[in-house]
Amino acid sequence: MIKHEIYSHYPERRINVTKYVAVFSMATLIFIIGIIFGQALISSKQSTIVSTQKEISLELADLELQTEFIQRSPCNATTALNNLGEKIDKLGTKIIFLENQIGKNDPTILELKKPYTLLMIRHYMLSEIINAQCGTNNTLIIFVYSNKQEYISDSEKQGYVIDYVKKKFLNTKLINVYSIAADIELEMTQTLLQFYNVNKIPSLIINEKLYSGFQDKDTLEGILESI
Amino acid sequence: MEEITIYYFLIYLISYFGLFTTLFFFMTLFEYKKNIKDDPEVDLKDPKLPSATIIIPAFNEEKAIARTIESVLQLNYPKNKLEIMIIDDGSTDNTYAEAKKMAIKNPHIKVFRKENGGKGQALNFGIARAKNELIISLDADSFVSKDALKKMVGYFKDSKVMAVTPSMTIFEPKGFFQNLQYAEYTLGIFLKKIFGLMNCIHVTPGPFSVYRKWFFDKYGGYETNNLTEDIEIALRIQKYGYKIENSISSLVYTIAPNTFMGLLKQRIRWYYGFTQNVLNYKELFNPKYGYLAVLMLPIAFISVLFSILIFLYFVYQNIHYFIDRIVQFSVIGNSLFIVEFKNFKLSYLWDSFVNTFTNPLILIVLVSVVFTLSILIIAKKKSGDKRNMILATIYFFFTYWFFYALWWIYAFVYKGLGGKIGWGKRKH
Repeated sequence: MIKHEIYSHYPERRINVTKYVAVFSMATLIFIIGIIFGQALISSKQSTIVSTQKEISLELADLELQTEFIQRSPCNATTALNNLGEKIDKLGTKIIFLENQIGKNDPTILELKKPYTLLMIRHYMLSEIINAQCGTNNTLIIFVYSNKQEYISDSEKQGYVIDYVKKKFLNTKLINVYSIAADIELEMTQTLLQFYNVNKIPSLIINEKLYSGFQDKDTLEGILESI
Repeated sequence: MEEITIYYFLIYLISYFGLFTTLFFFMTLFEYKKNIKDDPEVDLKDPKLPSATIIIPAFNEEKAIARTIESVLQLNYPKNKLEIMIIDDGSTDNTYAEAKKMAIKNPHIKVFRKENGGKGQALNFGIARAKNELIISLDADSFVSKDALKKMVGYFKDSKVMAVTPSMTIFEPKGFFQNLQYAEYTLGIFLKKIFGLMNCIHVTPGPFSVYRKWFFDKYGGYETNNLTEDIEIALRIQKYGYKIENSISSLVYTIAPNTFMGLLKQRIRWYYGFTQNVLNYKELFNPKYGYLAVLMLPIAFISVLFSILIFLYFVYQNIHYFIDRIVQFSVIGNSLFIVEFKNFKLSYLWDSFVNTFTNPLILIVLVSVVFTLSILIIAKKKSGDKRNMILATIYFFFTYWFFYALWWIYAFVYKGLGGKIGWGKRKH
């Protein structure tokens, strides 16, 4: 039989305060090291963002000059214009990357988007000239969108549909999509919107014809197939 | 930007809490290094070896009862010191018949049948009829390892020890949910030992916890209307100042729920029951109860609170992503996946990888992973469980935090909306 006693004085429930202090110190030390390391990572990310911004500015200037050059004899430069379009797309991707890092409505982003928008409009105009003068049959889509609260949902949906349709027709048609933010403060943007009587967001201008409001996948496929 | 600040503050606070508690456990482990696994030696031939009554309450366990009884019969313990009682708690299947078959071959097995009244009542029924010094509860769907009792009984040499708990693990885990629980229980093996070392165990699990009978004689049996009577009895033992020990290498295998709903129902009962019991034993938050008051109980509640907060914030932060995908799917349908797949570039993966791993929060995740893996490895080693746990570990790391918060939220929302927790027919 095991001896048993009534035990009620709790002598073995001593709390080791030294242990608490030791653990607290170790945890704090590790935590501080972690934060320092984390901050170092954030700084390196921020320098990547800053250098990306600089790259974008340089590329914009570069591409501006290229468009000037192409304008001199567009029919001899169709390939160059297509390459330019791809570079503008890549630039757009970088801007989206920055948007995701620092926010769509960050002033830096909005400022970068202005020369980018002008570049796109210039490319659009050149493409129109080439279509008219050189016998090419590129489909040109101006996608007017906005990041404002009341338009962002439909604008994003339209963006998905355009992405899908562009990928679908990748091998059969050359489609150039120019995504113009209606809320960028640019005279040229406003001129463009007025010219095409854009009164709803989102809107598509496909080969100079206006399609107001959100166009779903089937409608847009139908439009492009008929071109 | 404000939202991001609150989010980061929460993450850092929770990380610090996690780091502090984990370091505390590891320090305890280091302090008592020699004591892990070294269960007090016993001589099975010693005439002073305590006698034990194993009570197996059963309700509709015809499939598992024979195996449970067999595992008990294989216990490495003198047969003349063991009594086995099976209490059929009003089963509507062949549980009684199956148990009777085993009793015919083994005279020290007694089988009783009573009207259904729940596990607590069935255990009390057995306790009232038991004549031995130790009482062992064993769930009818659990199987005990051969040396478990031998390893556990030595702890009773310390007169302050009122109960000893085993290491619970999952029996033959199959599928996602059982494997998830397998990893969870393995983590629990480590924690239970650490809590035992600090005398702050707050639950003596149903499967194969060993008690001194006289505790029930003096302080009463199990509470029959309690959702988690195993937590109540442990808190009661703690309240009266006794010790609860743990034998890490005494493995007991239990059958775990293998469906989402089965697991959810179990967890609602556990978590709501835990809260109810702790509120009933509020006095245990007094520092005179040692680490139970100043560490274990506060950690239990803080970790739940933090899990829920991080879960809600994660959902809030990422809901946009999921809504975007739903919107995207709604406009371009199934073609979404086909088109994305056709145009997928490896550079997308690399960009995503770089973006994730340069996020400072990922450091916190990595540290947690390292600590958790260490705990799992130690638990497996010390308990002697040699089964492969790779799949279980992967499931655990990716999904456990999500389910844990979900179960807790559900337990309280369900109760708040007037849901009944417990059993229709009083099951076990």
